[in-house]
Amino acid sequence: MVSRRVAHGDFHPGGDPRFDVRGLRRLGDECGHDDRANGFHDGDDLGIARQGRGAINAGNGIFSAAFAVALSSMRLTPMVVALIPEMRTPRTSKWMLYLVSHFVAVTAWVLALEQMHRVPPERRTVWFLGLGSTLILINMIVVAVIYTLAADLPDALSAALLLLTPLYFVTSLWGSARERAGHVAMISGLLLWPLIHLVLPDFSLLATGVIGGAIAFGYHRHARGKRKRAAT
Amino acid sequence: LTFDAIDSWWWPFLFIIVAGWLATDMWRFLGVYLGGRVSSDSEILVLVRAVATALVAGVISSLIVAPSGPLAATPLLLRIAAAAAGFAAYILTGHRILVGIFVGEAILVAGMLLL
Repeated sequence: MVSRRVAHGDFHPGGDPRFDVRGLRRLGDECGHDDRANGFHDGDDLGIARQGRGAINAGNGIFSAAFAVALSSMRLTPMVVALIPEMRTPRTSKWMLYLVSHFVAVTAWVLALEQMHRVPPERRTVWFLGLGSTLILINMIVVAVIYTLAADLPDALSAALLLLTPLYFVTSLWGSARERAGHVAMISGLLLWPLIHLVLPDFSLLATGVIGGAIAFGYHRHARGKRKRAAT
Repeated sequence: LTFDAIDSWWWPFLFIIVAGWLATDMWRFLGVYLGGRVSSDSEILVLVRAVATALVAGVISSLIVAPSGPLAATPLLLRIAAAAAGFAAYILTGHRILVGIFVGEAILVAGMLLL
């Protein structure tokens, strides 16, 4: 691992921008392909960034690279749709919402679903902007620190750090549910992904969302119908 | 048209803008556009939230079932047991996230040291 550290000769800050970007790319490759540092990204961005890096390394063309990234980013649409109505007030500018959407990733999304209702509506966009940019900054620092330390960390500690993300998500996502359907959706998604991944590895997250969401919504309609019948 | 295809200073930037930014942010922008037409108490929003929640649950599932790094070297059953125990502790202690995380981590580390 030490021998695979970035060769500083590849990296010329302030020089020809072409060298900068390509050097940066090598730095990214080194970090991304180092198994130890891998996984210390936001769970969501990881897959997307991997698609992009993979495409560049495999020497894919710009269109197939864009396609790979686009495919793994499609899942962001329902996440953004779910958040926007809670952030929007009649006075919120559209541009602000488009800017804010750039910061939607799994961690920020779960935190927002859980906490944002406590923020006064007119301050929610700014709150989310602060949350998203803070998370990105912390993430960059964590990746850099882990990258330099990873080789010296005992396996048990590295594994424990890697388990932090799913443990945090699984508890906070449960707590963030607005209605029972949210819990049904979460359980469905957890159980469905491994099964779907076996048959549809490229679309596993998307398919998990659609099928799990449909199950949860079906439950929601069914439970509501029952309540209505009981009321009459 | 690969990353190294055109030897000019702007090409890598264009590549990154198209494949790295446009390709992901277009889906977010579509989400803002669609989200702007949904009222915050509609049934559609319940459906969208359910789909998004199942998606995120899929991400969680993948992080446990198919993790990266040293976590991948641990037995699958241990990871599932640790996550399940952490989640159970969270539920039983009245939704205390820190307790859930602590119990899950303790099971994982204990399992790794014992196995």
